[in-house]
Amino acid sequence: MMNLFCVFPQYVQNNKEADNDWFRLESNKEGTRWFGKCWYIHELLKYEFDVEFDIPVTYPTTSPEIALPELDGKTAKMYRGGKICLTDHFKPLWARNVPKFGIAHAMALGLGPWLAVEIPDLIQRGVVTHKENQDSAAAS
Amino acid sequence: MASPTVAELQQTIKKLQEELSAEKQKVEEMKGTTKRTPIAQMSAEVVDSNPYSRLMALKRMGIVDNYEKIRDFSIAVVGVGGVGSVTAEMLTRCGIGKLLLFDYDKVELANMNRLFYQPHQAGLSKVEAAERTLREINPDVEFEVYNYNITTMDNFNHFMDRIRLGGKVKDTPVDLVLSCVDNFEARMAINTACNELGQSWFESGVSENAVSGHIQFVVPGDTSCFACAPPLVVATHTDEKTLKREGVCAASLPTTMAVVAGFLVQNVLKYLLQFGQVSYYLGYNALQDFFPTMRMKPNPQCDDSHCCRQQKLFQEREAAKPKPEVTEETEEAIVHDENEWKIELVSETTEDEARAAEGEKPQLTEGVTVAYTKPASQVEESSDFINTTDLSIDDLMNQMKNL
Repeated sequence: MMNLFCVFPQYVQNNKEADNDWFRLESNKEGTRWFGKCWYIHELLKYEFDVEFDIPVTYPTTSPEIALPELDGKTAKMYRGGKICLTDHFKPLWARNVPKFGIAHAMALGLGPWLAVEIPDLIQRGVVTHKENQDSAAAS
Repeated sequence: MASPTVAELQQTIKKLQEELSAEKQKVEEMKGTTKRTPIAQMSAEVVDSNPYSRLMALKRMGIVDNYEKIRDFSIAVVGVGGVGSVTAEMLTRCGIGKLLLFDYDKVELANMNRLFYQPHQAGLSKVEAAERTLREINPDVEFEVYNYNITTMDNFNHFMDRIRLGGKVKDTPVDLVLSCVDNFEARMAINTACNELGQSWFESGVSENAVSGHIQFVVPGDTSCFACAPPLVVATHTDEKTLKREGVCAASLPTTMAVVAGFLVQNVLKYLLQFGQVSYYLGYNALQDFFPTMRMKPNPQCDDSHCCRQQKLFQEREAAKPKPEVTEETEEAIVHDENEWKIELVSETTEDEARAAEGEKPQLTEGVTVAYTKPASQVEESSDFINTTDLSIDDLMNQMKNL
């Protein structure tokens, strides 16, 4: 299983080098539970969210269920506990690529597109507002 | 008349208090009489007070040979939502021996379009609320309830142990596992556990648009497991959005869920009490009232290694059995009387190409399709894979932090 995690630091590094960094993750000692932060830049403002997921026992047959707990109940594109809806845009893709996909793919192709679609909408509806203490992209 | 003294008033109060407590006791006693007490032996006696008389009548009707046997069986119901709760209630009313319930959800008011749970139970864990109601309906049933998510590493081993050791007789396996969950991950977890243990189980599901559903009987090694083929869907002539789970995006109807729960328990009873024919796959398309059935063979290239192991074991068991003689019917090739212009059909892509893109498709009955196709597994190019490193997770974590 370890080799499936290995692409992950590489992906983070690639993002950094391309000035395209958008999340930070760490795991418990066993590597079964992952948590950290992800952020999204909208109109030069940075919106940051806690992100967490478990590696299911059925991994890599099934993908991790990525959750943004603080957005629970704020959008219909979410399941209980703030698990983002991956059903249409990511699950079939994962299923067709078992066992080659790992955490990096789940973040890049699962969470990434979800944030890009949902966050601007949440901001527009006023459900998510910019917090002052978060650096704006322009300043950082 | 003189106004009553304090002493007189106190006496009146005392008298009234006594009356009140007597009334209260009466109410308590009344409750006791309507509360059903455990029954040691199922009786076929036809009296109004026998909760089993109508069930035991199945024997007189010649449907079931030995209905009392139902008390020896133990069933694990995973997921007690729209389908699972009704399933558990049906089994409880049928007098099943033991039920193990697994769910990590809470009862919410949004669940009230479905059967079983009541508004005052909102906020309770589903398994706890279910156990309370079911015990009241039938105190003869034994319960074990677990309020956790079976797909996480920590809980999965415990879940496997309860399947292996949760039978009616201590430390024997359960007789069946019923999957009434609403997501792919949990179905896969049940599939993995049952393949590893060689445990027969039923899968059930209702589509996200609430107008189709299915049940599937999985006997590891004998029939197709959940990982053998992409998930199946019943074509409903609508935009098919496959087997998805509950939550805010999904629609649900009490009717469809009850129909699927009914199909599920009916087949459980047929399997346990050995009457009629058990359906290996039974689909339900509510829009056309169409019910496809079929039996699917396991996939010899199944991704689940335990499925392949069970298939081998099954074939060995089958080979050991004496074989009944089979007469093969040969189908004659269609030859047209005349084909003056030598017309034949030629495909643009070769058959092999088309097959590789679509992947291996299971043999399905009319009206049932797979949710998606999987390309045929290609010869693994080593370049596709990241080189395995000997780094531990800690090393990787440090590497990330240093970025």
